Amino acid sequence: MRGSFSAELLKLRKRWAIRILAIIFVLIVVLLTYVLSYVIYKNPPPNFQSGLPRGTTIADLIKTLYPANFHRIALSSVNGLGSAIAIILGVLAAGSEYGWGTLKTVFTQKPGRVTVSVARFLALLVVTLVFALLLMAAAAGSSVVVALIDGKLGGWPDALVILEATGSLWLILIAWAMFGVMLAVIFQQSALAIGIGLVYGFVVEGLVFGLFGRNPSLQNIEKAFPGANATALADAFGQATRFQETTPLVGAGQAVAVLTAYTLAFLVISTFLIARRDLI
Amino acid sequence: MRILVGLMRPTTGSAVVAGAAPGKALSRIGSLVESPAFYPYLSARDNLVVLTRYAGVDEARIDVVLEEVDLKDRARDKYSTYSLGMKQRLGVAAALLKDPELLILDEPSNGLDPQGIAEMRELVRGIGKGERTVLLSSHQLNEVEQICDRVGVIVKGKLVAEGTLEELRGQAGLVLVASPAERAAELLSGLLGREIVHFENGRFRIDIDPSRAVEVNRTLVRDGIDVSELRPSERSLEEIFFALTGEGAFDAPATPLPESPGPPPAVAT
Repeated sequence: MRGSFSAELLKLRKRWAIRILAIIFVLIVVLLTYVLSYVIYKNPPPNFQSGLPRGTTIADLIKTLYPANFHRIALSSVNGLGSAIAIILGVLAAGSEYGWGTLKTVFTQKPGRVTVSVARFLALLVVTLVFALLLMAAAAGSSVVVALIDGKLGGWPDALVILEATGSLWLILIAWAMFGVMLAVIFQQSALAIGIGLVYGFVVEGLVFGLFGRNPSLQNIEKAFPGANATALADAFGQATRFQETTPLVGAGQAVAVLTAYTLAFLVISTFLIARRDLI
Repeated sequence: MRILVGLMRPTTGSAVVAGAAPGKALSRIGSLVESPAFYPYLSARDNLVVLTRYAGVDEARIDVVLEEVDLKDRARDKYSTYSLGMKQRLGVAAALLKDPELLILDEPSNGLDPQGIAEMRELVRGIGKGERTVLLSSHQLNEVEQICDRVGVIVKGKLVAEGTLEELRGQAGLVLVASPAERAAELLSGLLGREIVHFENGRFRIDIDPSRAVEVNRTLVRDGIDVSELRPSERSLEEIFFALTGEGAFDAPATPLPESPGPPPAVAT
């Protein structure tokens, strides 16, 4: 297992596509969340203030970009585009092997198929941890720059909160990544798996629950879905802005349990298929 | 081949490889199944590093196998930049990483140009010189003939013959070109028996020990027949294959022995 884990990690570490995903992830946080928001808040378009909820000022919005909120900003970025990147990460880790035909090269060495599948999961755990740490670091760094520009560094979240937020981010990322792995194994290719993964993420989790999520009966169904639990886990750390305050759909404990169960289920399904299928 | 290395399960029956069920003795088996498959973004060396880690093999083996397949100079280049011949050689290198007792090579010359085929032939010959057994699967019978010591012929999933090339070729014979052919056929049939004398494409093929060539030649020449060619013949693997499978490269009708005009018909008086 140790050798297979080391091999899987080497493959992911040396692959430029994985590094590019990490760069994109960081750029999303730095450019879209911090730079763009700060520029807009500092140069608001006409009537921008009137569009805000009662009691909220532009100064409140700028405060959300300070270090006290960096963990919330990082967590919010993992929903939507972040989940898509995690799915692509998982698909690339598993799906490319089918395109290149490298599974036969690996399986004819020595390791068992179950070993290879579990080793890939462990390697993805490491990569998603690196992604989570990068994301937190990018958000922290950006928040410091914004606060220094404004001359209002302010306070930081507790170390325990930062640790919990990083762990939550990691869990959300690995859950989506393993979803991508499972799709790649099911379809035995990358393109279709990415397509289905993104459609699921944006249409089912985004559009359907976004549009009809206020319906109580639909909300009960939504509670069992990974996207809703990922959002609930992120929301458990509170909203960066006061006016967005909403009650998370499920508690943090349940969200962690559901996401862990999904991660393990995706691992079991993909491992079963890898172990049972012939390699033609 | 895929069943032997554990990539596929047999629908019926069972197989034993290196004394174990398929996939159970992989530490003693190296294989290259059809085309080589590696990570295109990694160098040849990194690809082999990945495989040594899966196989639990010392990374020191990498230099040994790269040397063996003559890829050491290009080891740090990305696999995606390799020619097909180099990819095939890297596939053989990967199969050798475990220093296996049994090396299974499935169509190692597939898609190679003549130069690549010759290089692969030499490589496989060299690999098989020691104690190691090389199992080579190929449709290129000419290559098999030049590389292999023992040959098995599989027809529709069944092994129909197996042995050394000499055993499969059976008794060698003679090839003869003589004129007039009709008279030669008559003499040869009388001397040796009609069933061992065949006439194909203007040549006689005679299924006898080549040491009887002098006797055949003397008989024909004594009768005034011109012998322009007389030499020992060996069946090629292709001929053996077609004989075993009952198929031909093309469906040419068998040529009967040429017959002499014979005596004039009797006239009633």
